[in-house]
Amino acid sequence: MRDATARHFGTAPGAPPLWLAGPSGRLRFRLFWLVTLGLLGLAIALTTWYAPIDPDLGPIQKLFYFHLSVAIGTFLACLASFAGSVGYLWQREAIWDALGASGARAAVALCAVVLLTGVFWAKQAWGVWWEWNPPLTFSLSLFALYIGYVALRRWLADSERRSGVCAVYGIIAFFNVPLVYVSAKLLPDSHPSSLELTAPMRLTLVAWLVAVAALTVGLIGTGIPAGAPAERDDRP
Amino acid sequence: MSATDTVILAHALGLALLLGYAALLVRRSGRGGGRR
Repeated sequence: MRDATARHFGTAPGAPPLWLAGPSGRLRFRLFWLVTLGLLGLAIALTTWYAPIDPDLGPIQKLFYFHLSVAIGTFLACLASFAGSVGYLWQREAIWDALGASGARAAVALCAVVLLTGVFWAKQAWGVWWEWNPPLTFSLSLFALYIGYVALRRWLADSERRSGVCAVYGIIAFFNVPLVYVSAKLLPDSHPSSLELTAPMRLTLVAWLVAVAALTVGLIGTGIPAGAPAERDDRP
Repeated sequence: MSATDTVILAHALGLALLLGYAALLVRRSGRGGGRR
C-alpha cells in the first residue's frame, strides 16, 4: 500500500528515486549501482589477495575492514534518520519524513550486519559468540531502537501524527549513536579500540569505507519513494 | 570452522543481506511504490 509520502510525490512507474530524477535519472541510477557493486568487488578483491594476514590476530582480522565500514555506514544512516526527523519537525515536509524513515530502515539493515560480523569475530577471537561488554551492548540497543522505529511506523496509522511521533522517536534514538562510538573507543574491554595497520591494510580499509559509504547512500536514497511528481515527469 | 571459513561466511551473509535489501528497494522504486 502506498503511503502519504508516496502519494505526496506522485509516483511514476519505472522512474528512479527522487534523488536521481530528471532526464537521465534512470541512467544515472543504474550507473550509481553499477559503480557501487564495482567498488564492493574491488574491496573484496583487495581483502582476498592484497591485504596481508595479521601476524597477531590471524585470518579473522580480515573481517575488520567490512565490520568497521558497516559500523560507520550505520552511523551515517542513523544521522540521515536524525536529519530527516529534525527537518520534519522544523518544516513539516513529506520529504524529511521519507528521509527519516529510509535512514532508519537502512540503519536496521546495516546494524544487523555489524552485529552479524561482530559475533563471528567474537567466536573466533574470544571463543564466545557474545559478551555483554559496553560496545556490544550499546550496538544491540541501537539495533533494537531502530527496529522499534520501523515497527512504530508500521503500527501507527498513515497520518501526520505518525510522521510527528516517528520524528521525535528518531531524534531520541539517535542519541544512542555517540554511546556506541564512545564505548568502543573509551571502554574497549574485549572489543579492540584500534588496530595497528600496515599500508596495504589501510588501503583495503579505505576501499571498504568508500564502497560501504556508496552502498549506504544508495540504500537511503533508493528507500525514499520513487518517482518525481507526474507533472514534472519528463521521461520519454 | 576455520578462521578463513568464518571470514568468508561472515562476508557472504553480510553482503547477501545488504545487497538483497538494495535489490528489493531498486525493484520497488522501479515499480513506483513506496514504503511506510
